[in-house]
Amino acid sequence: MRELAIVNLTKRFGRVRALAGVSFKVRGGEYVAVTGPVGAGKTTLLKVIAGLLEPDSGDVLVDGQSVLGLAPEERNFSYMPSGQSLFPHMTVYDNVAYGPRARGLSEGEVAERVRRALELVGLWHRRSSLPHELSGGMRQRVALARALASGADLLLLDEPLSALDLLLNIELRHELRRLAKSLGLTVIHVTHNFEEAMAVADRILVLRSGVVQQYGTPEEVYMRPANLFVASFSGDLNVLEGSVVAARDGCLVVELNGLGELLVEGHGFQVGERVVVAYRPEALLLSREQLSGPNAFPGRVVELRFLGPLTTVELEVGGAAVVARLPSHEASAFRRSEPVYVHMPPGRALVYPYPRAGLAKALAV
Amino acid sequence: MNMPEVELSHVSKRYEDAVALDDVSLRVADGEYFCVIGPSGSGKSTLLKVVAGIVRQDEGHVYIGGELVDDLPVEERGVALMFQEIYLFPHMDVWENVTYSPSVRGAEPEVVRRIGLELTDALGLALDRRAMPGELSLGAQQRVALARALASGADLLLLDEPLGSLDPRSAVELRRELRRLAKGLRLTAIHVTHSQEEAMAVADRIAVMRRGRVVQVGTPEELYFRPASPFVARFIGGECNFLEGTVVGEEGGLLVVDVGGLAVKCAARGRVGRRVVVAVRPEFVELSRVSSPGSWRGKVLDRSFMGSYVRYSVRLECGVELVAKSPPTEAFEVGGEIYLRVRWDRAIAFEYPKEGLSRAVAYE
Repeated sequence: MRELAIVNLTKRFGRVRALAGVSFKVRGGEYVAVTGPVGAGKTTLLKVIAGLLEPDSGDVLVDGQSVLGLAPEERNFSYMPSGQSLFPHMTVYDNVAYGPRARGLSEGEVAERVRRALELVGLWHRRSSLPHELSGGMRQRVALARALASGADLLLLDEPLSALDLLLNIELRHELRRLAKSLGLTVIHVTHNFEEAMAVADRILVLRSGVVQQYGTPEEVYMRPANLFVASFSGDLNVLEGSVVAARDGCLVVELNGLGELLVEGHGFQVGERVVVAYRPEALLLSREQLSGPNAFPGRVVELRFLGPLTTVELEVGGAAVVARLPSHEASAFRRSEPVYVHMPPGRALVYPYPRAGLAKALAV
Repeated sequence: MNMPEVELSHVSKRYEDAVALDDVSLRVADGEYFCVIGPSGSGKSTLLKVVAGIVRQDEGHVYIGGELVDDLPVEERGVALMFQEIYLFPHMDVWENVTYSPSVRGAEPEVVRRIGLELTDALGLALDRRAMPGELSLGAQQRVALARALASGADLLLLDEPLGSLDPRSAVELRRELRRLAKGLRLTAIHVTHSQEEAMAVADRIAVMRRGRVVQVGTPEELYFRPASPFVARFIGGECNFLEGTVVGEEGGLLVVDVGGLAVKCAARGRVGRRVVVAVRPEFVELSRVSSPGSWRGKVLDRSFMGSYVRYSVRLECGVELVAKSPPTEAFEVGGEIYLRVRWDRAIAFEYPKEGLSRAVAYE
């Protein structure tokens, strides 16, 4: 498969619009994560691609050919639903061998694939166990091995790591990506967890209420979120409100409520327009003395939380609660309750029009 | 005098086929925010249930405020409980839920009103007093549950995965509020979580549990910089590199360890000639395009941009793979050649575990 194209898919369940014109392309060998809050349409999208749901309109093309007329088993995709999906009465080996056998491969070829897949997930030594004899994490790895051994062109994984203990989840994310890459597989991986999406994916598709919000590399989505929702969904965010008092040459001066004037980079805003200016915690800089230059605001350290490599500094700035995150060796210069200057670099500001539906609604997951 | 608010003394608890708590002794100070972390099945929830009085220990004693509470039922221990599942009366509004406990205990209407106002204010629910639980987000519902638990007047807060059912953003917000509230109301809190990051964010001190035992107690800094075992080194921080080596000497209070032909100095216990395992956190592995004394040559196998850092996996010429975490300001290409330096002053050597490294650090 060279390319999978999703073209303007729509799907309704009664009055609920699960997919509202979703389009994107996946290159052969690419790892794409589909993420968004509960109810965004992620699983529906995966099921339509797998052939388990028929869309109301739109198309799914493999190398330019529609596969909508094909039954799920004719599409050469491997779909791994969320939750437990192993055959309970079959051994680990037979579970993983199911796909290749169904494809009519010789027992020799089947054995080779099963061994390779089980070794990759570290469970070859448990091949004779039954699913109920394994931990939840192990069962999930077997399900993954089964998807990998299927020999399909495209893996469709729905929350493949969600049943794992958080720590195992974090380690398996990277293994899963490397595995897919080393086998040259094309993957669409659904997760509600943006961090997991960043860890595994070449590109991330952010969905909300059946609408694509953004499609880009982890850097693009995190550093340049397309809208306030994506900005908030993709990581911690300080949200400040204000209005534009000057706009020139790609720069804006924003009068922030309660703080004063802020100089930021931004295009396409009018003087007088209400805006939201957002900063990632690690984009903020702190100093004990006032440094020259714009965008320095006096504040106070409310709390320091050591998180290992990074320390979170909770601040009070002009009556607003602001959170900064800095390398722990830099954070040791600051003390609780002490005054501090918070610098907001113009180039790191994320500026959006003030949402018509209100801030809470725009940020809600 | 500062009495230990909660003390467990040699507490053990067995279930039919498993040891849940194995001779656990702990002291949680008055007003302390204390976290208990560990993998699934490590006994952390059982520990909380024993303190609450939901589960009776087989051996040992539990003291709250200096008083032996082994025979006190849960209602008489003065504890506010909060779980992952959100327990609210669905047909009562926020106000009725929060004031339920003082009302049924027959408090004066003025007192009930004051408690209700204080707690809904403290938890940011002032605008939602007449909302029904079903109209609120999960994060707000969990705040109502907390207000309701506190309305009983308890000063010991027991939290079992209180953020487990929330989306990541709400979880980060609520954990900040939990700590602020506990400190503001001078409560003692014991908070059980499987997330080391959550624990680091809220706790004064953390107990790390494994196989029913407490393997280390300390502040977030102590656990991060001075882990007591390879398991704690892996558990705190989420990911850790382990390099095998041999102690070849001692110099200025540090051990000289031969790691892959390189003599490195690191903090450790151990004797010359002993096999050790050196724990190196990914953030103490520095990458560069140019070589420098003591650097190793390698190749970038994979790269993940993670927002506040970039995670690289690197294969050294000797075949060993290491994980490095770098600031996002630098970018190294996948497949590219790279020079890697370890901050050995931040590395920690442990005696090579008898059971083998993979068993010693397994999440069980």
